[in-house]
Amino acid sequence: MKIKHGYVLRKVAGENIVVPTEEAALNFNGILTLNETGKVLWERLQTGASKGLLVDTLVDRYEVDEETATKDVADFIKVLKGKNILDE
Amino acid sequence: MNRHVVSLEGLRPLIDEQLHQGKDVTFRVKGNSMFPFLRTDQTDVTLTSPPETCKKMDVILFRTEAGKYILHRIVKVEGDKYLTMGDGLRTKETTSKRQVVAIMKAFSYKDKTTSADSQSYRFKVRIWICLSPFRSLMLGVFHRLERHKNHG
Repeated sequence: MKIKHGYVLRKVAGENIVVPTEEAALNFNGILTLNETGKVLWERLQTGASKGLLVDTLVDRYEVDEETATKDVADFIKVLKGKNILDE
Repeated sequence: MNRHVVSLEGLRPLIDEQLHQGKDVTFRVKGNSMFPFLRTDQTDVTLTSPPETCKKMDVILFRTEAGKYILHRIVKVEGDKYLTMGDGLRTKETTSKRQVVAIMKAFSYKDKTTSADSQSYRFKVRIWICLSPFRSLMLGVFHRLERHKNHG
């Protein structure tokens, strides 16, 4: 899985905001902000990563068990897919 | 991944960057100061970089001296200043050109998008401004109609 071309993560006012770079308008209603965990997953997905690698990243970097990490990763992927910014 | 409410002041660098790139920004309206044209939590406004001089009836986003961001309509152009007023308000304020951040290009309500250049929309605005001496009465009628539509 990989983040689609045309999206960048920007730090604005202390928030990690996903900004579409190729759309004619930035819609602040549907804007996606990421917490630190989301940011780490996003960075992995920019170069491409499997679900397994994402889970391992969370288990490795944070004190979470695999079950929690798997759920967090699944939730995150669901959000990105819902916004159509993830390539399978 | 959480949804946060980030203030316009905080988002300003990103807004300016978009506008400078010739892009638009879209927001959901907060507050009833532009009722009945723009409805709180229901109308989306699309803003773009402002021209050198805005015209009467244009809706502008401006930053007050106190740092507050306001979306109101120009009711009169006076040299380097604009006299602005919310459609749903009775008091005017003076805004200088340099305080203007963006101008409304279009607005969307219930899947219908209206251009700020639309003839019929500008006609309604003209009437609304002409009727401003009776604004309290007009607003009362509109708010009552709105309640009737929502609950009746």
